[in-house]
Amino acid sequence: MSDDAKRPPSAPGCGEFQPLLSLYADGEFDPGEQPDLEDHLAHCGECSRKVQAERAFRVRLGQAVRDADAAVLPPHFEARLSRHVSHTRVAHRVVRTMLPLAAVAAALIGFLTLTSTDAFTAVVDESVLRHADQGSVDFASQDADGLERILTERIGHALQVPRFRAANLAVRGARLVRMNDRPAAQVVYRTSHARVSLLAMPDPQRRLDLNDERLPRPDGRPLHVGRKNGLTVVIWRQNDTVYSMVSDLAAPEMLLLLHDSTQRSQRTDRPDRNDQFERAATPTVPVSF
Amino acid sequence: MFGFRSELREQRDFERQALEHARPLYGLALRMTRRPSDAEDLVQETYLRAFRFSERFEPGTNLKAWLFRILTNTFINKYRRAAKERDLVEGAQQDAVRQQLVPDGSALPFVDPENTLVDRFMSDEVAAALEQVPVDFRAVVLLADVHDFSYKEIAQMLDCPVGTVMSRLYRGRRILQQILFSYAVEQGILHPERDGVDGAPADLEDYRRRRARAANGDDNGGAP
Repeated sequence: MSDDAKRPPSAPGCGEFQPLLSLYADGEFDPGEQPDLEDHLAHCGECSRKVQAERAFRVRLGQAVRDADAAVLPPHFEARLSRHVSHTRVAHRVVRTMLPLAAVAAALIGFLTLTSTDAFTAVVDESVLRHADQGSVDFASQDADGLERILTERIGHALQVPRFRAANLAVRGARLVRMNDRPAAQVVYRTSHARVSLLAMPDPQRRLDLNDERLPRPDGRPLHVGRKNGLTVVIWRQNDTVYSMVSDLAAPEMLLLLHDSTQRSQRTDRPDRNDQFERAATPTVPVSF
Repeated sequence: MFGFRSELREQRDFERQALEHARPLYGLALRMTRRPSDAEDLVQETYLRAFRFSERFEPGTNLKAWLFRILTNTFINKYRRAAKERDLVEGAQQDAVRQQLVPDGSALPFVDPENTLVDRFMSDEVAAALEQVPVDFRAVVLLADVHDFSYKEIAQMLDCPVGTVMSRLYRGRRILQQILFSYAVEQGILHPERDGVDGAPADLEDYRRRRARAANGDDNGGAP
């Protein structure tokens, strides 16, 4: 309204637009949404100054508080937050996501003694026996990649060393062992409250039958869970290797560990002799159990 | 694979994206709770809720706004009720607060037409002044002016009408300006008789020098 330019600042036209000035200053209107107001502001210095003042106050206040916030952010806040949330999330998933599996695990306690073949029993016994060995390891290292390489090289068979990063479970080292006169490997992990060991046994001839139809197959792959001598044992096959994981953790916790574990990509640096290994699209993917 | 692989990857992507907003969330939490330990707890609680109910987040919508909404709700449910601050703006004390900070209950004059008031203080002093604003007004000022949310987004976060957001924002800004003006007078940056509400320029550098000397313990109080 061009007439406003001739009016004093307190003219009726200003009062009409007064309630809209803050909204305009805050960017609540789309361009062209309030043509009368825009026209008024183009001609009324008083209202235009108010808008500018509101806008400037907002900008300066926001910047001052953001600067103050940045200055008082606790050191390592994000890392600490991420760690805390991650740990709590893992515990929560036991209750939520893993509840059906926990129920499966509970139902399977004692399953090993009921259905095991001799070969299967031998795997259980051997992995439990090896788990009890708290002596030194052949390769002491927290580098899962390095252990994977050296074990694969020494055994002549591509093994995978699962990483349990979300559960704060660190690899401690590995031993070379023999299982049925064949080379195998035992990987030892540690956590603040539990010991975990993993026996990895090459079985390209599929001597060990792990395809019991009565086992649940949530991923199409049978998973064997049971207890022996007060320890939880989880056994699975991945391609040409049988893995037996043992710990004093409860079965649901063990399943959770596996759920949250990862494996290294097998794409680039594995020998071709085991190319039936699953190829991963990304460097680190959740391990498939 | 338990069928979990893609779900796990999506969840981790979601968590990574959500954690990118940790800093502004901490800033809001600190100015709302006014205690660093409470702020950290509030942010942690916010993320735990966000991850627990991540399936309720609609992909493609504003993740930051969703997180802020969880934080403000958590604050209201946990801290604010504990502090019984609700009474300040919705109960019997509402009028008392208004009379104290908003003398006539009508629109306060804009005390800083030259826009120099905020610039007269260190950023931590501005933040401290903002913390003196009653929490309902403070929340809206923080969400709008510090974190750049629209009226509509703020209304959704606080579960109140847009009109309420507008009135609280207007009032919150005016209260803050009054507080800053009072600070300026107390600290000798402004003199009410000389400067009035128009806030004539004062020697800010002189004030900062005195403040720095006082912080080093070699000043006798720094009276002007």
